[in-house]
Amino acid sequence: MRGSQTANSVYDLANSKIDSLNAVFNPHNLRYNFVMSTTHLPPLVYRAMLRWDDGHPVVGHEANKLGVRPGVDIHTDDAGLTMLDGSGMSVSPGWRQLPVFRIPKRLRGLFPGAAGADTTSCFRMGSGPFEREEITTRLELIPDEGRPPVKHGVIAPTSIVLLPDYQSDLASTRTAWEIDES
Amino acid sequence: MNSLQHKAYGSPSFKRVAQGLIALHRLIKTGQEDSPEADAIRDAMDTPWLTLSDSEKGMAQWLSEDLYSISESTPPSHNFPLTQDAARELLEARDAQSRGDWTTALTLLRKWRHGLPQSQVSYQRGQIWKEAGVPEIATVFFEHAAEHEPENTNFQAIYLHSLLKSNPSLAQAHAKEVLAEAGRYPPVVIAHAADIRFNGIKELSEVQIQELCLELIPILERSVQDASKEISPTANNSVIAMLVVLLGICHECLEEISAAVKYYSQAILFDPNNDSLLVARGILSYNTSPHAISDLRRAVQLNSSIVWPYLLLAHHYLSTSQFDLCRKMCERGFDFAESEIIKSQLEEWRAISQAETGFSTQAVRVAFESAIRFNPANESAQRNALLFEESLTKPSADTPLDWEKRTATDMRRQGIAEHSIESFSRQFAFAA
Repeated sequence: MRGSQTANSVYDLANSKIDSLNAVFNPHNLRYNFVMSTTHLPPLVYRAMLRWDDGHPVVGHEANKLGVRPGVDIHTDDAGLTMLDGSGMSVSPGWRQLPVFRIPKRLRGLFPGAAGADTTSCFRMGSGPFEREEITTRLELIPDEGRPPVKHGVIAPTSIVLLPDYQSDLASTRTAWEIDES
Repeated sequence: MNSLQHKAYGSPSFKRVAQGLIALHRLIKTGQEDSPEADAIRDAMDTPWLTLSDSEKGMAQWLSEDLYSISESTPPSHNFPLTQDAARELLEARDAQSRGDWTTALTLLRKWRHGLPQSQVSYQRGQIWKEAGVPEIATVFFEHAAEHEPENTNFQAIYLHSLLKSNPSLAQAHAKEVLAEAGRYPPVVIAHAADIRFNGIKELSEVQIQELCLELIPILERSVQDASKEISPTANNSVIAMLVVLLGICHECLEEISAAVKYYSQAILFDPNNDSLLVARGILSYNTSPHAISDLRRAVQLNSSIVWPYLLLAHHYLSTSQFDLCRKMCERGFDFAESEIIKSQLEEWRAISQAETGFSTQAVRVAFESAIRFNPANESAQRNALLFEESLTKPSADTPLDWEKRTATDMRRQGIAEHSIESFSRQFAFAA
């Protein structure tokens, strides 16, 4: 296990819940390494995802779930190891910066043109600025390059890991994501 | 009316996102926005979305909002009176459109949409996107206008015309349906459907083209009669012009030259400055009517971008020993020549004209070499180049060189064969 062993209550909760999620969502044996950095606030990030009955996102390998599409969102080598090339799970600094076709249609009154599925919700996690920063000891936010304000980034692995481990690391943040469509 | 040409709006990624949004809204319209098909469309938009500029993202967002006017099951009716402010801003929208400020034009139209009939709003949106160079989006709004106001036959025609630009195969299918039940449709729709059929002509064999023409001639003739009976003569003139041009094309395909010339002449009466028509008639009449040369000259005066008036006039001037005029036609026509064979022909005649008007030996050689380089199979250019070289070794004689020249009949035959229907149809102003 890398990094500090200290965790805040939200992430502790995530770790406690993930056992039950394992059976539901992930065919692999998940290793839970959900330990966040103590030195900085994890960045505030948003993502539109399918919501589970408990109000948190559904874990999975699709664009509207908590996870990545192998070969699309995350690049891997022949051995199945993730590449540290800036690929990862897409997030934005606010729900209004999400693609118009990802913002649920029911929010059209707040955001004209919204054409996302109403079965999804806009989830937020973290509270710090949208800058390159660790989210957990194994995940980091990498904002897109370009002039500020940057409106897109990815949650990428901090080191080379097997793809299933990266998916597990993302899944382990599940209960840290809260619906925020304000 | 000729509108100003603007650079087409948006990157290729914007067009992919726009097509995705259109497909998504078609599913929203049928209540399938949460379906796996809808998710697949959203997934396909993720990658192009990331490369959009901020302004393109804004444009895509508002496009999606405008598409709700089509995908919503109960679109709002126009029940607000058009105030002076609205009228003024709608005029501003038109100004913005004419200067290529698509965002402002669409924003102002959206602001006052409830004061206009839904079909008018969709028609106007279609016009803006058409001028912005995104026919895929324009077609969707024109289709909506036509569906919403089916009695407006111009909307149907404009929709067909736009569909040809955005989805040629679907346009072909629609055009076939229209022509199969021609009696149900007004002349303007028939004209556009027939035009679409001709745009797909390159897919057809010679026999199929002749069958198509035989099928279309009675439909077009009946439509000309119907259009002539209608009340609005100004609007109908352009429709009749389209129909008679199409009749001319049909007869030309069937090698019924005098009938084709008759119909092109009728069309020229409606549109005397249409270079495509003048060229078409000029080719058909070349060497058979003295009017051919005046048609071709007029097309050149109009700066036609079709190579044929330059080529035929160059041949005419060469045949009548007007070498300086011949050289000028060769030089002007070269820029419009698409085939290497025609470029070679023009260069060969330029070389002869230069030789006859005292250009340097080097200049003539360069022109002949150019002719042979463009088309190594141009035997006439090789023989004429040889004739020129031999003349240099002989003492100056009064007898002119006996250049190998093509006959007018041969040129006319080539013109009829190569002046393709497709390019003719494309160049003729069929804008609705």
